[in-house]
Amino acid sequence: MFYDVIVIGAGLAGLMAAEAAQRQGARALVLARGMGSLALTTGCIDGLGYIPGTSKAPLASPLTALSQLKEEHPHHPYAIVGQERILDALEHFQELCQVMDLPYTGTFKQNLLLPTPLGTYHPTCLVPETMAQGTLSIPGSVLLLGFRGLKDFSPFLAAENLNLLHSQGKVAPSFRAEALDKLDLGGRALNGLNLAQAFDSKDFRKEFVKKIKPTLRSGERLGLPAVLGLHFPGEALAELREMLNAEVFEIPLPPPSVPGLRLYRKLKMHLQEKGVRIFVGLSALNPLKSPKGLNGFSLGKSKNSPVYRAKAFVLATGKFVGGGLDSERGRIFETLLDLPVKYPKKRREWFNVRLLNPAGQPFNRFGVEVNEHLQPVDTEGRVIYPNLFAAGGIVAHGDSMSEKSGGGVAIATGYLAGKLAAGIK
Amino acid sequence: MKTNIDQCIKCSICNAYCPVLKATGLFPGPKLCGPDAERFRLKGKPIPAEWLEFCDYCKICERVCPHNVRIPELHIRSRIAGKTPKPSFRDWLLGHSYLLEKLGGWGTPVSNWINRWAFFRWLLDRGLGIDHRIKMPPFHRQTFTRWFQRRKDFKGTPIAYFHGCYTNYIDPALGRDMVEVLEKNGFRVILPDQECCGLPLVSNGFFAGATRLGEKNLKSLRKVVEGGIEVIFSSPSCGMTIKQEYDSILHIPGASILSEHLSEISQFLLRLHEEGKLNTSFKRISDTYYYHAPCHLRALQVGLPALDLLSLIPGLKVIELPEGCCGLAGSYGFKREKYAVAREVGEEIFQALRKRKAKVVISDCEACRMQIGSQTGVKTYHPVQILRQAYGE
Repeated sequence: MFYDVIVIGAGLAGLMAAEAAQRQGARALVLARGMGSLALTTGCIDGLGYIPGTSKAPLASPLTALSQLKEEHPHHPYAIVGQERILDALEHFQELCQVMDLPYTGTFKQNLLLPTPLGTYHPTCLVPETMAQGTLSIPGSVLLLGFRGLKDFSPFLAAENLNLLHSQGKVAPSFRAEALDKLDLGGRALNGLNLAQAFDSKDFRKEFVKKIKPTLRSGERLGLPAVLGLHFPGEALAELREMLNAEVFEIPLPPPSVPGLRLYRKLKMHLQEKGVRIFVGLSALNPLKSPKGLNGFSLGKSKNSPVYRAKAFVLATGKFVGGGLDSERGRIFETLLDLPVKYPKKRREWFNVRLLNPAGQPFNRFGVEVNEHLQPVDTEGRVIYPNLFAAGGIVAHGDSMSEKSGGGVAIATGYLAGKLAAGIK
Repeated sequence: MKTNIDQCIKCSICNAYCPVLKATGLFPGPKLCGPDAERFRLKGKPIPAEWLEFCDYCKICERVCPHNVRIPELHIRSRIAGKTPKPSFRDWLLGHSYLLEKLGGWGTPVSNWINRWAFFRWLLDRGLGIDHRIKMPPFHRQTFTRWFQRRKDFKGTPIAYFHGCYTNYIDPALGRDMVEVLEKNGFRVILPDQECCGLPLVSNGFFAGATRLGEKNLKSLRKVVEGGIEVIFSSPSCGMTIKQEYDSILHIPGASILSEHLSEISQFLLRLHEEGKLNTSFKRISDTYYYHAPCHLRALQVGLPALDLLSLIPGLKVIELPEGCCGLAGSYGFKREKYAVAREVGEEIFQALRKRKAKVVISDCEACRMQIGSQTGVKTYHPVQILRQAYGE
């Protein structure tokens, strides 16, 4: 089959690239090995939380820190895309989310601090409306409510740690914790996902409100783990706010993350409605190359395997977690096209001995070098395939872990790569 | 390639998409049951046996896994290792459904009367644990193979058709449409000797029996393939078993040679179209149908060829249903303790159909068609049957 643009990877960067290409009128196809890493994220779109190795405090604004980032990392994906196109892409993302009925608030101009389930904070810039009231700069008192038996969230631990931060003046609100007695989910396991599906039902929400209304003091905000519905979080939020007469917010849990899954599902559904095909679970993607560029991919090794061809391609396969990069002892490589990856020869320099060192792990910056059009280039800076663009984690020099920049980089590069790919004739 | 459990990075994406975990608390999910438990099994430590029984083998976990850990294969491997109790008589019956179908086909119409007899269903339910609510598909006196034998010879490029038991005994109309669609494209269909592919035996824990059937099929199909004839199949589950499981699970020597010459029918026809050889004189069908992509078709990793193929029919609009498992999973949904789970698994699809007041659903897999048809009352067809309609007389 023939398409205009084939995107490899179904993470945020890949889906945004497909969306951008489709919007330009291109017939787009997404091929992916797995479902992408959105379910491993908080569902928030991080902009730029830190410039590792500089200050320990989170940055006040990703936007104003861009020039400093460029000085530290001249080839950072943000530096390549540039301020104007970053803002353009994020604005487009927010509009898209509005259309998909999954609104995101915030702006790239300002970082928000949101609570984590362990009772620390993380800086981010675009947040789902269900999390907005959790922003740690909003003063007042908060009731953190957990569910007994939900192993991913202890409200007591979270409240204790957050109160510690409160006493140091680092966060505005004060916290107290309660836990609901064990819920019956009709025989289903008690986990974030099943709870979220239970919250999609009106009756369950009514029961829930009945149970917690006596515990909630007036004027208190209610903080819950992120389980307010898998399909209709907006509806659940509005209803709880009204019935409890209080502000309600969610705290994202460890993977699989409900807010991440919501975004994935909505994006996927939106793309499918627009006619974009998405094939997930392809273990053997074999590139078909010619001297002129990339021609397509065969979905297997046999001569019977179906072949998908396109005019242009977007590589959005992520790094080590996504599967775009892999390593052997002494070698790091790009898994799909064996594009050159720059890394120190000495293995010792790949790692930082302290796992959670704020300066980050050097291997998290490895990836494919690209030019100003996001085209992968070789060591001499020559374009490898004129019809190939890279987006998201696979692009070198960004470190989403220590910078807290994953979502922003994925959207900015994905949106641009999709547009550029759609322009190839 | 053997599954390396160190590939699993414990991200839980498989759990997020496992339809059975969503439906019941009795199943701890693919991650725990697969790569996590494998560490214990490798050390010879037992894990609760009923866990594995609840996997419906839809392979969604493997599909969504960012690292392609073959979780279902881990489940099967630990069943082969004998760490689960012996299958029951009920499971024996369901595993050997090809024998029952043979018997039922021979005994029509009496077998169909008995099947519809409420007392008999009550007996099956209470006595054996085959749920009385599930609709038993009717048998046919004229099986597909019998119909085919009486047919006039057709001249054209030979092509071998692996029809599977369901087409032969339960849905001979599909077999007839397959033959006629292929003949419209200049092919002469031949039916190689064939047994049940063995998947029901695999999923009910009878691996030796499955291997025996597999060896027979391999022998016969090999002869065909070595004679330069390609093989097509209309059931993605049969096809997946022959193409993948004969080699990776049953370890039948020489099985890998088949996968080069075996094609799913829609993929085969689409390839013809790409080569400009497909007869596309389709009549207009001004209607909207819905399409459900079966899990085992997705496991074949061929994209969704039926959708591309059906888009060639003028006037026809085909809408893809939400991605997911219908729940029946062959014999899984027939079991009393799993009937409710199976219904819950497919609920998202059923709801979508009800909401849209769908009349017709197209799906490549017979089990999906059975489940969707009986749970929602819609008419179900194989994509090839729609093509047959579009060709007209």
